Amino acid sequence: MPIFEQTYRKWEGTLKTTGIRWLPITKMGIKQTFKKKRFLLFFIGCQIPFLVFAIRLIIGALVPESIENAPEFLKITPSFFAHFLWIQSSFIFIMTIWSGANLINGDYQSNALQLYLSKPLTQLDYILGKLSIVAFFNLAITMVPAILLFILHVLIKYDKNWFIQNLWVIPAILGISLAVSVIHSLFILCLSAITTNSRFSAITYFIILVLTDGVSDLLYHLRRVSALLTISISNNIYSLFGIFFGKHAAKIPDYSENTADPYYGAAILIVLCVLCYFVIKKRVGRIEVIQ
Amino acid sequence: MKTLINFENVSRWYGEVIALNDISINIPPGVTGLLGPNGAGKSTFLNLVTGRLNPSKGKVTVLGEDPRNNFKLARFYGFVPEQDAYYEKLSGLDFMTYMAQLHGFERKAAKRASMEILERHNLITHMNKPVAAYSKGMRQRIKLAQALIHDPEILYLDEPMNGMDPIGRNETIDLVKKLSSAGKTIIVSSHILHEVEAMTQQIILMHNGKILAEGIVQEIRGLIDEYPHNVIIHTDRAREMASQLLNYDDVIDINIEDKQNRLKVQSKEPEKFYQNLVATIVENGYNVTYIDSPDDNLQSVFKYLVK
Repeated sequence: MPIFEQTYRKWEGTLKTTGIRWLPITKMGIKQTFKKKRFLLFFIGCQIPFLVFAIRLIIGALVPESIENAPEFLKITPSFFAHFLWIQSSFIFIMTIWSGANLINGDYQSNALQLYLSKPLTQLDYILGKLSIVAFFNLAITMVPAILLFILHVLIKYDKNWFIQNLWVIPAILGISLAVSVIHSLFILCLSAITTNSRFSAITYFIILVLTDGVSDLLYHLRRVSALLTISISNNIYSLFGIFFGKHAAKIPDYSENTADPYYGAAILIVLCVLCYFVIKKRVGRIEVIQ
Repeated sequence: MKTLINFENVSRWYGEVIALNDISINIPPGVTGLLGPNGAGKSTFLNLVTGRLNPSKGKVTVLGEDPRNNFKLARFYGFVPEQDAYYEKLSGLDFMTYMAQLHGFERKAAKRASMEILERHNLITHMNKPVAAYSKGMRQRIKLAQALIHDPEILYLDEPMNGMDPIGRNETIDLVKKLSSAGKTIIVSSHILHEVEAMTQQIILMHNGKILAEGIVQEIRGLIDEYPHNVIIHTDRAREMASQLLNYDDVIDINIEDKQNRLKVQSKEPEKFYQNLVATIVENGYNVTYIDSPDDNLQSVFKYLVK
C-alpha cells in the first residue's frame, strides 16, 4: 500500500449535491452587469413607466365611483396591465442587447468556456445560466412591476368582485412576461454564440428585428395579406398579447395595426426558439481543431 | 495495478483529419507526461478524458465511467487549460469563489476554500487585485488553483509551463510533485521533454495521433541529447547575457536579434542549461520577459522514431 506524504492539505468542507447547478452563473452575470453604471441608470429609467402607471392607478382609486363619465384611462381594467407590459416590451429590446450581447462571445474571448465545461455542469446548465441573466433583467422590467401594480391596486382599492373577475390577469402577466423575455433572451444568446464580438451580435440583433419589421410592413402594405405580418419577429412577439390578454389586448394603442394572427405568430416564435437553442448548443459544444 | 483512465482502441477524427488513431492505453495513478509536438493529439486526448469529445471509435473510461456528458465525473477531476482562461475584471478571490461555486460550494464555504487555496499558492496578498493585473506566473498559479479547489483525484494540465519564467516553472514542478506525493493522479501534456521529465518518469510519447512509446523516459532522453535543444529568451540586455551564456560548456550556439532583444540559444544539455540560466539571471539582475523552448529537437526525435 502506498504511503502518501500529507504535504498538500485537503479542504475539509462538503460539496452540495443538490440544488440548481446553473444558479452561480446567473448570479455572477447579474452582479457583473449591475456594476456597469450606465446600465444601472438605464435599468432605473426603465422603471419610470411603472411610476407613471402607479400614479395613474392611485388617482383612479381616489376618484369616487359615484362620479359618472370619469376618464377612461383612470379605469383599472386588464387592458391597463396589458398596456403597461406593451410599453415595457419596447424597453426589453435595449435591455436584451445590454445584458446579453456579450454573454457567450465574452466567454469565447476569455477562454472561459473550457473552464465552465470542466466543472460539474452540462451544456444545458451553461445555457440556462446565461439565459437566466437576460431573462432576469427582462422580467425585472416587465413581470415584477406589473405584478406590483396589480398588488398595489388590490391594496388601495380592495374590491372582491374586481379581484375575482380579474385574477386571471396574474397568470396572463406571468405568461406574456416569460414568453417575451425568453424569446428575446434566446435570440440574443444565439447571436452571441455565433459571433465573436459583442458589438457585432448587438448590431445583428438590431438589424434582424428592424429588417424583418420593415420587410413585413412593406409587403403587407403592397399585398394586404395579414400572413405577411408574421415575417416580423416584433409583430409575432406583440401578437402574443392577444393570446394572454384576449379581447383586452385590442384596447392597447397600436395593437391592431401591428399584430399578426397570434397563434400563427406563436408557432413561428416556438420554431425560432428551438432553432436558437440548437444553434447555441452546437456552438457551445464545438471544439477548436488545430490541424 | 489500479487503472484510472482507460482507452480501448480509441480513434477520433474531425472530418478527414485523424486526431487520434486506434489508441489503447491504461493510465495508472501518479504523474504521467503526455509528450508530443503540436498537433500530436494531446489536446484531443484531454478533450476525450474530460468528456468534451466523444470518440469516433472505441471506448474511453475515467474512474470506470464514460466521461461524455457525465457532469458528476467533473467533481473528481480538475482541468488546467493551456490558454489563459479568466474573467480579467474579477479579483483573484472573486474568480476563485465563482469557480468553487460552480463546483457546488455554498457561498461562504466557497470563499473560505478560495482563501485557503490562494494562500497555498502564494496569492493571498494579491487576492483583491483584478486578475488582469496578475503576472504570468500568478495567472498560471490561479489557473492551477481553480482546478484544485474541490480537491480532485485527477488533475489534467494542458501545457502548464507555456510562457512561464524559470521561477514559475520550478514552482509548478514543485507543486506537481507535492500533489503527486499527496496521492493525486496527474496528466501533464507538454511538447518539452525536460519539463515533463522534471515531474515524472512515466511518459506517453505521441505523434500524429498515435502512441509511439510509453514509460521510457531514459531512452527518449538519450535520443533527445543527440539533438541540440533550442531556447528562446527575451531580455533587456541580450548581448551581455549572450556573452555570459557562451561560457557554459553545454551551449553550442547563440543567435542574437538586437532589435527585439531576443536570444536563440542551442544547448546539448538542457537541464544543466536551465540551472545555469536561472543562476545567470538572478546574479546579474536581467529583466527576462519571455522564455520558450520550441519543439524542433523533439520533432527530430519523433522523425527518428517514426523511421
